[in-house]
Amino acid sequence: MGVFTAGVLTLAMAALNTGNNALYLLLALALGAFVASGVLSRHTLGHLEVTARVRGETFAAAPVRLQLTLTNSSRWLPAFGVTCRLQGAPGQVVAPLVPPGRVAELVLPTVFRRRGEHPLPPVCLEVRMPLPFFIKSVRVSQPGRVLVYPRRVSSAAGRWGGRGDRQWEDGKRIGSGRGGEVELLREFHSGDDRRDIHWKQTARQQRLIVMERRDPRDPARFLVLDRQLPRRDDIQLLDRFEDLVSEVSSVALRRLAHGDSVGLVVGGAVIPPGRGGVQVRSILRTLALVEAVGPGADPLPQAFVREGVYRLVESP
Amino acid sequence: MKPSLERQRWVGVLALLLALPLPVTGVSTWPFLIPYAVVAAVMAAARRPLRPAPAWLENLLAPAIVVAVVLAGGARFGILRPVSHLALLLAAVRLPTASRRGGTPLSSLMLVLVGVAGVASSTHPILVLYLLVVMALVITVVGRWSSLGAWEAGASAGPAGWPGVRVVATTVVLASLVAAPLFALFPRLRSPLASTPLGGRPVSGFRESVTLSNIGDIRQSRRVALRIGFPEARDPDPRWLRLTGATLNHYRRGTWVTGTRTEDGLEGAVTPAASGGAELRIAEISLEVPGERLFVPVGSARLSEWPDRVRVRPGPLGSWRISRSAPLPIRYQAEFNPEAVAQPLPTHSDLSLPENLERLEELAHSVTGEAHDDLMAATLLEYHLQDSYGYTTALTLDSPFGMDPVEWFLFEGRRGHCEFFASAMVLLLRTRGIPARLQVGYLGGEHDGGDGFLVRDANAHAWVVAFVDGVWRVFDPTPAVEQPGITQAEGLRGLWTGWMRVEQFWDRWILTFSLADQVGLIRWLAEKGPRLAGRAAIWVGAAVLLSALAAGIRKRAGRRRRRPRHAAEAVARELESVLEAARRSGVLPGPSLTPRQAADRLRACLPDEEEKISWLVTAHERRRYAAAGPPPASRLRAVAKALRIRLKEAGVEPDRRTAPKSPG
Repeated sequence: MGVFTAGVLTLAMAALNTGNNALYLLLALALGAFVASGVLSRHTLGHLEVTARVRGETFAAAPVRLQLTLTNSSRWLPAFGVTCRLQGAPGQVVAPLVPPGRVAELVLPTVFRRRGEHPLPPVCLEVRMPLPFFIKSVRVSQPGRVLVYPRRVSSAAGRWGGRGDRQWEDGKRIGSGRGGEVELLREFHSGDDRRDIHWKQTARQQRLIVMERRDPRDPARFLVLDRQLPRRDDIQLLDRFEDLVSEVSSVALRRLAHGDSVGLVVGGAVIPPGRGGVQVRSILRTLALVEAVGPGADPLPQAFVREGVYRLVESP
Repeated sequence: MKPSLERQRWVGVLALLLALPLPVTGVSTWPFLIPYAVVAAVMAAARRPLRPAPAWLENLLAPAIVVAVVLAGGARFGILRPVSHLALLLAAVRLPTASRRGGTPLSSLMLVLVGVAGVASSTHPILVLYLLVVMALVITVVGRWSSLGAWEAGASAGPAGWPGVRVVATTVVLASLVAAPLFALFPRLRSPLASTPLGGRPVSGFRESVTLSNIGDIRQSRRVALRIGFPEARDPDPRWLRLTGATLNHYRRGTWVTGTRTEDGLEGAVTPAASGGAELRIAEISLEVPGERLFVPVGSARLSEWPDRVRVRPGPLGSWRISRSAPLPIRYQAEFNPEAVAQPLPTHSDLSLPENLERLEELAHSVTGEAHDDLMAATLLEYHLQDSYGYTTALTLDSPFGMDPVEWFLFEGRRGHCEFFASAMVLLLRTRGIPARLQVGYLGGEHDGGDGFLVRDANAHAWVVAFVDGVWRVFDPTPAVEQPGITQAEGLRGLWTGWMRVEQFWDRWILTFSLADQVGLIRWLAEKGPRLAGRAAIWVGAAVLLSALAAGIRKRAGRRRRRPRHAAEAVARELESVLEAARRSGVLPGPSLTPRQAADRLRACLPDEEEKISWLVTAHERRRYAAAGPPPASRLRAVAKALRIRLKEAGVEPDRRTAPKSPG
């Protein structure tokens, strides 16, 4: 743009000074190209539609891949060099060429900074072509919401709460085995052991139902998060609470990945111990949506107030 | 190919294209063009990215470049030449950096300057095509670069792409459409810098005073200087196209001017040839370039018509002066005697010679030693110059310090342009005691497609008038092949005429488009505006109506075309049409049957068509469930048509249905 501006000014001076009509012609063409570029890029933007979908699970502060579907409804002009980015989020992807009337599938790598359920940010479409004088952009609102799980941390320390309040060692499989008490019946998910299928219920409900058993050697173990803060208006405390949620989430993920049965207690809400994908999503969803509360607002059940609680205490 | 190498190649190609007009127009000389062209060609052809010159080398070259530009004449030939020289050498040094990602803007600016210098010195209609090609290439290169950048940064969803023909073509067309009114609207104001040394010099063409070694900025300018027609002559003689603007008789060290000093006895206002009673012709002339002189045929006795608003006054030695600010074009008529040269009688000034030119006398005597009279002597001198000296418009011609340019031309350089030849002949004639003058103006022209001629800057010329045997005669010592001539159509007359019309339009409405034209255009619009607006409204309305009609037809056609793609494949459509025919004829009960069940019933009713029915259903299933290609369209249509006809002819009664019932 700088070169273009300097060039046009030089050209205008030269044309005025010499009265050379060839220079006037060149100047007119340069400005014509400027206008044409703006018109065509506006046309391109006006005929682009984009929809975004989140692929897989989304964790805060971790790369996530968004699936973008870019549709060029123009009948004549291809969309060239369209840059797509999420508003307020890092990352961009450039669609080299979307022919007229065609659809392009793009993967946009980005990062959501905070956990929680957010509306999907608008997608910004930017076009520089055919000549990169200005960046023309448009924001396309996206329907739907995205659930961002808490940030994963690698140095999270596990603490049991509840009846089986004992520490465990990372990587050590405790209490695996079959034949324990049936704790709940649920729908079959990929990865479940087929031997756990409850055939009667399956036949009755016309869908695969599996039994979740409690290992007799494996006591009910809970991760207990106290969401009461001494003060709710303290930014530092809130930041530390976020770290605490991340720690609980990371511990739960790690233990569930090892096949342990993990339950979660957040304030008065209790998720019974369990394994598998459903349990993972249940715990992560709860932790993604948990909010800090003031003192006494949402106390823990009495059974879990002893040791092993993830709790923020004010430094003396 | 690596992105950096590809960028380098594109820069090389673009650099070569931008410099293309420079050697053609002659605004830059080869010593400056060659390094630039070599660097650009190497960049375009190299297999590895070039390394930019180190900083110390650039620092070393910078003063050398400035010195080279100054030595090549500096601003003596106008501003365009040194700017182009400077841009060429700087670009040659800096080009390799321009191909790097985020290359320096200075390098790009140098390229822009090279391109501007080339365009500014071009006057041929092909310039428009050249500009469009350059624009298309720039759009392509910029798009490619941008795509390469995104790819390199890992932000691209695929390999680097190209803008595509449609993007480039649409941009060029749209830019041209916008540029046309912009070109007409840019005010052609007179710049305050125009009269300073930084102002643009006129291109090579007529000059009122001749300074040898200085031919102007551009060697072959096509700018139209004037138009001339001879209304009373059916077949005008080409010799009539020798138009003089000034006659010069005082020579001082390479410079000719018109003397105004009146000398005794020889001054006269009578034009001897014109008063000889010969038939006078009329030339209608339209002057298109600004200046202070009117151009008339050499035998012109008087001006018969000129615009009231232009003040014309007679100048010395038969010239006609006007004000430089007179609005162009200026149309006037001159009456002339084709057989004569209209000049005042000779004076002592026409015999004056500079001092210390003994060698000229020796040369003149050696050439004219056998001449019996002045006419033969002049002819011999003319022939000698034409035959023994070379023609060149090289702008580096310069005589050594302290040496007379004519002497240098005659005895050392032996090469020069028309002004050298004419100057030499005038001085040689004077050494023989023959009064002679230098005349400058235009010679020749080209047919404008009608009865007239276009005279361009490139037709500028200098020649000699000598007073021989009591009359003024024209002598032209420039080699005949180098004299501007008359361009005529040779074969393909229609094409030639068409091209002439293009050139005429170009010359009239592009090259010589002026402030007066703008004012005229505005006046014309003001007068015709309301009526034009009414017509335009009708045309726009009709265009909108037609567009809507075309859009409707296109939409309908598009719906038809899309139907097979979106609704059903051709095979499914044909099968459905057969089943529909079967339903209408009572073979099938309704749309509840699968194709295979329907086929069973059809086979039962039409046993002799079993093969066609099976083929149709199999083709449908293969296409739909096995991702097979479409069956041959002709066979598909034929089979479906045959079955439909058979079903219609059969007129099957419902009680003849023997096929199994569908389940449920």
